[in-house]
Amino acid sequence: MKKKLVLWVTAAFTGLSCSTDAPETSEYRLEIPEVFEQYLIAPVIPADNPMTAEGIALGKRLFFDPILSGNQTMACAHCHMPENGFSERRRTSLGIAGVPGHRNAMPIFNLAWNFSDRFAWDGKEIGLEEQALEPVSNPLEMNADWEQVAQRLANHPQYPALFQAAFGSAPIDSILVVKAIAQFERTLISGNSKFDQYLRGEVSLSAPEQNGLEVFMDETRGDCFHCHGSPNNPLWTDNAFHNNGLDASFSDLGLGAVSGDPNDNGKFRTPSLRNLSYTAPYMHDGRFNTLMEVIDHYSEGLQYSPTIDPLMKSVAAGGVHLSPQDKSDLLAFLRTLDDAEFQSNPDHRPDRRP
Amino acid sequence: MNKKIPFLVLWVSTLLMGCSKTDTPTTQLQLQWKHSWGTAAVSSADLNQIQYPTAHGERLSVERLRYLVSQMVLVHQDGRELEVETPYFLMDLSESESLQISLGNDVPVGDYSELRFVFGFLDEDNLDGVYPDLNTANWNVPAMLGGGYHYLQLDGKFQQSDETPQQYNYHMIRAADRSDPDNLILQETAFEVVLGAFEVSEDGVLSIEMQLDQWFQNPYTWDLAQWNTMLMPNFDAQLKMKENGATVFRWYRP
Repeated sequence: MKKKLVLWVTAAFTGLSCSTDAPETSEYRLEIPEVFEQYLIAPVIPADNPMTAEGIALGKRLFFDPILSGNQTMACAHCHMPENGFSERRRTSLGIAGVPGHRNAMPIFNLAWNFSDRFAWDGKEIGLEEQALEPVSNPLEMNADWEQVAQRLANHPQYPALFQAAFGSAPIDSILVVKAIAQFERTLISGNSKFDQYLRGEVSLSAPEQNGLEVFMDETRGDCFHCHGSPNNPLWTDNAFHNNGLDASFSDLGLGAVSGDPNDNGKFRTPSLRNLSYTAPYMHDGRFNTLMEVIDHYSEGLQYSPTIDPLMKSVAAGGVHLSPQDKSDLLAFLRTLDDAEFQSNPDHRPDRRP
Repeated sequence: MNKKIPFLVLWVSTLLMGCSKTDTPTTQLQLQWKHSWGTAAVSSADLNQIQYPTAHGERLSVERLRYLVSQMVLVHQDGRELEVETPYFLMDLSESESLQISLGNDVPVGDYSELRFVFGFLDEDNLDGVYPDLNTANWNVPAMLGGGYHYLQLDGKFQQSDETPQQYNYHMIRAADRSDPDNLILQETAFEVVLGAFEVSEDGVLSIEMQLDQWFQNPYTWDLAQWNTMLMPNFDAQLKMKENGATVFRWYRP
């Protein structure tokens, strides 16, 4: 299924508006993957940040431009690389000073379907626009001053016209920057994996893949579906927060540090299982380099702590103890969630500049 | 689940449909869901503390509580039935918004003989994957157990004495016997709840209480050491959950 960008020209509407500041923008409507359309509710598009072709184009350029960082050496895409499912291979990312942060860069796709609207591993950011604010000023990441960034963009030979086209004559500021980036991020949709094709009746699963699905859905074996979705929830995440038994004590409190509630200590947002082949390493701190290490964790490596999720039901035995065959088949199934079309989509790469 | 569905009330009885009832005051009727363990109120502030004693002698925590009700009907004292148009509601103890639902904007004030609803989905409604909001809420039941949706998800930990707590997952679904996976035997476990006479006053608020302790004791005294996790494929456990569900709900009387 080829994803297309559907443009709705609304120039007449905007051109006739009372405000002379209103730009003549082209409304952009996401083409929603068939399985999302069938199984999920509509994506979240904030009323105060409607998607436009101009906003997306601006957001894409900003996403790949190091102009947002303090020393202009680092773009969002330095840690959220398209070739890695918009994550990166390093366990934790390096900021502009070469100092590593303490979390693995989360993959970026299907974010418009995060209905909790809480972003980042620890849920500290409410809303996708808000999420884009923090890394720019974070001293361990891009370490920039937003006012200086805005001034830089205003003095740039091309950006003022791009902002004008997207948002009218409003002064360039952090709010407009993150609105544009969020618009671009909402276009990063992964919905054409082999398993999506299977759901559409276009391909069959192999015997190992089919058994891997059974392991995934079987409460007496993998029981992955309670947190990671199912064929009826093709996001492959519940977008909720769980302590999945990584540690007996915590060096990173996760959601607990955000909420201040000790009952949330050690809880992190469930990542999607899509595109796992491209998004290693795994977990919030990137501790696992391979998918088999992840499976081994749930099979034999669970650690008890007071906030461990009740769904980690076999913690007393160290895990669910899958057979070698079931582990191998589970891995085969997980790879059916890779979306090669998303991975190679040229619309997700930086534009060539004149 | 942030998605909200507009609520309406349908008058099922046709007796008075054509009559003018403009002199009958109506209200926007809200229904609140309360939760208790014995005499203690249970709220999201109490999550995760191992504190509730079971009839069998364990103590347990409530860390996650979600449940589904459907086919809600209000029966007026004069016999008219008001069917709530919203076909089902998913409650989540951790999301306060979900615990106050609207039953309609024009519900006549007055005396009613009963309120009834189905806990879970009857088979006719328990259709696999057809409700996008429930799919999004990760509320599905695996196809190998007949598909459809959960009715109850009650998760936590329990202790018998001072040993390391164990997990429990009290998940209620349509019972499925997988003794022969190629010939799955399904048995409905959804049940009707009927609450007696009540008044709809102009303030338009009703409250129902879920007595969580009842899930573990009446009539079947639940032994968590025996049945704690992996209960979805446990046919017998599902039937016992249905039995115990009969006394779980009542009108909330503060």
